[in-house]
Amino acid sequence: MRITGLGLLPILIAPLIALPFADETVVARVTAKYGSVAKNRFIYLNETLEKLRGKSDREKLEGVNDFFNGVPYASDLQVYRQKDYWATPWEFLGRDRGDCEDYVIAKYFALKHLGIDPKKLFFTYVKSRRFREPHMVLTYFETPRSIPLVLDNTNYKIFPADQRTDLIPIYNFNGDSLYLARHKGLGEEVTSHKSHKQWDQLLINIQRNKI
Amino acid sequence: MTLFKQIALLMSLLLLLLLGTVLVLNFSNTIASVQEQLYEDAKNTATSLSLSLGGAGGDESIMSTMINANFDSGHYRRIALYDIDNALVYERTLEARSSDVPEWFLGMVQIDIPTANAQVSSGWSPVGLLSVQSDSAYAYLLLYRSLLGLVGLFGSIFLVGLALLYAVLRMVLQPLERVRKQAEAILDNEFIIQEALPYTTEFRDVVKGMNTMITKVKEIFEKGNKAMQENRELLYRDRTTGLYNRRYLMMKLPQYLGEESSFDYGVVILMALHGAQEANQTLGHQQTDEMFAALGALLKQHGEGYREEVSARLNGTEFALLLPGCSDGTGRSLAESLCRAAETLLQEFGLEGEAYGVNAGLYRFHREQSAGDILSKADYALSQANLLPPGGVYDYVTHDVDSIMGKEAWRKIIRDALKMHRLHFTFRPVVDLRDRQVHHRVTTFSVADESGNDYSYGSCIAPIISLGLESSVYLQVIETLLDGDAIVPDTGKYAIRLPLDFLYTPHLTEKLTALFERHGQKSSRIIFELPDALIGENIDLVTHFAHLFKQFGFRYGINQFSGASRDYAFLQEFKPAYIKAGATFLTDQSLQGMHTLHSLTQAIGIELIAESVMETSQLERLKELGIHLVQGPQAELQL
Repeated sequence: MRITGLGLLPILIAPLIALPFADETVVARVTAKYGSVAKNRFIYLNETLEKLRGKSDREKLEGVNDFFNGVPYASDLQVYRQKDYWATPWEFLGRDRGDCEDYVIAKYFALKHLGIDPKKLFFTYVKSRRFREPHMVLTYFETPRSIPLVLDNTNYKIFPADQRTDLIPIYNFNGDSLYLARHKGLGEEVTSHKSHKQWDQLLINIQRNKI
Repeated sequence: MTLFKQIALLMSLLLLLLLGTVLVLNFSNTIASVQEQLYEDAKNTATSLSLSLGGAGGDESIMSTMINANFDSGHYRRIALYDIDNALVYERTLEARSSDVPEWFLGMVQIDIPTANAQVSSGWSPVGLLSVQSDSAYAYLLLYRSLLGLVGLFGSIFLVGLALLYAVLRMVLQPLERVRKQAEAILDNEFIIQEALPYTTEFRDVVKGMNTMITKVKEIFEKGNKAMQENRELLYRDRTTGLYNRRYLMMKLPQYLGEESSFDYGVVILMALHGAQEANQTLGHQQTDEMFAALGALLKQHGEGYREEVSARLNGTEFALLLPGCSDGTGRSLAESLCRAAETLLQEFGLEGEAYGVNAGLYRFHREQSAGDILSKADYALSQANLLPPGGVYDYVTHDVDSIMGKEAWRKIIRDALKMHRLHFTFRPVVDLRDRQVHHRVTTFSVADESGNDYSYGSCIAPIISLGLESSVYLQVIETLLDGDAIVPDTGKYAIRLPLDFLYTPHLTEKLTALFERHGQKSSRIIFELPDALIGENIDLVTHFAHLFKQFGFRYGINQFSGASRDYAFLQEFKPAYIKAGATFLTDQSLQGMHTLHSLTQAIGIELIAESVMETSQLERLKELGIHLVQGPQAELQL
């Protein structure tokens, strides 16, 4: 087995599997910062995810999609006073507001927490015909060549991608998959962890449990 | 190694270390920055190319063309496309790494070129992974150019830093250089005080210390000078009249006798006052003292105009006037005039009558006589005078020196000798008693006439001076000494005594300067001796000649020292090589007086030499007094 900087990922992921999605420390800090209402949201999140454990992928997708689509939408400018900001699930749920990327991120990490293979999940940049603006959804590929399911905050129901004619796919992205990409024929260690600026910053924030 | 060099070396090393460290840090940052930039470039390419590849609809030929276009247009080491199962679809790799940077640089700098990946999607589905890696050769070239620029910049900073360091160090250490000069000046007995104190505290303390030390040494010298004057006052002065005493007369008289004297003859007038006791009763002690002081002034007044005259009070009622070079007839008229004036003075004090009066005895001496003989003859003349009525003068007539040979005959002999170069030189040694070696030699000369008769210095110098030929003779003597290779031996130092009259020669400076400029090669071996009398008489002239000699590298000495001048402070500035004093003068000094003389000379490093050492007993006494350099007949016997 090749030991690289990517070896840190299981260390990051393992506690998420063994422990509640939001552990006691996170909940305590969220409570201190956002109050008891926010705390209740986190407790409810942990309970929801706990209930989904052992269920099928489809049920997990439905449960997670439903839970996070309950969070009201708000632009990054409104919430973070930045044009584009990728929030951690704690920030997203703590503030109880976020834009499309924040929904995708929260859903992605929650599903990963529930044991969904991250290689099946992609952050997909799309163009929304309805809103005439760039948008992001989480896509789930049963197999690499199957038609993905689309988890969208603007549409509470999960549909196969071919039924989402309101969306034009532009670009797929999965930070975890990029790390795991093999470098055939190079025979070199991958010394940089970086692959995507926003993703890299997000990972740092998650590691710090940014709330 | 000097302090300057040590500090300069240390500071240079520190500067080098500092700049080196900054250079390394700067270059490391540049490496990191280049790596970051390479990754960003690769990432941008990966993202944009992956978006383009997505539009190819899975057509491999289009995708490979797109990859080729990107690969060829930029600096990439590798661009590879994998399918969804991680199987390699297409790849471009840089085959030969051409590089403009030297091998050592490649070995020294390690750059990690990260690979940037991007997913390739077609519609909703990911179809592969694009991997892009930038070319390190290009990065190495950038870094190499950057290193050259940095080394150039830091090298320039280093050089400017060194120049600044040099300037600052020179400025800061300048006081130390001045301290060194101060210290060296002390060795030359010059006392320099640094008026401007340096800014640096430590140096300021050192300079203050040096200034204090130099002030002390100067004080010691000045105290010695003052003590000598006081000592001299006590030893040789009569307090009431301010005249010299008998002791001084006895000490001084031998200087006008013998071969080395520049006077051929002279006159001694002894004057006795009668009725001193009565005067004391009549006038009272204080007024009598005033009368004696007035008599002393009268005596001095009569001696005026005679070079090196000595007026002395021999005891309570007897006075002496020693006039070297004074002729018989003049002496007599002076004695008579003196008696008349003294009589008038007594009357002015109300001392009239038979009990009061003065008489004078006159004796004319010549250089071949002894001091004792002269004084006994003068005493005889006074005793005879005392038999005369008040105001009477007794003249002890002796032979006339001038009658031996007429002035004109001398004039011819001397002029011929100068013209025909018939001056013959003799060198008399000054001996160091400690090692019985010759310290230096004193030049003397004789004059030969056409018949081959040789007239010694002793017999010819008085006619030379009285005929006013001393200037011509001494200029030739000096020129011969400076120029005559055959005359002056190759080693050792030679002194030439310059008579007082010669030093007053008009335009002497110009004449000597011309001589020195023509024949200055032996300057370090020739010492000019100036008579102490000139210091008392004309200190400016002494300073002038001392300066002239110093300017041409000659040393000078003082001879016939009697401590008669009031101030020897100029010795600090124009330090003579030595001071010569008569053996009689030196042996006559008290221990205290000798101590003062020693401290005066030793404070500024002047040697003390006894001249005219005639007796063995004198030699022994001089050794006891710590004087080891002697000149005269006894000195020559020591070799």
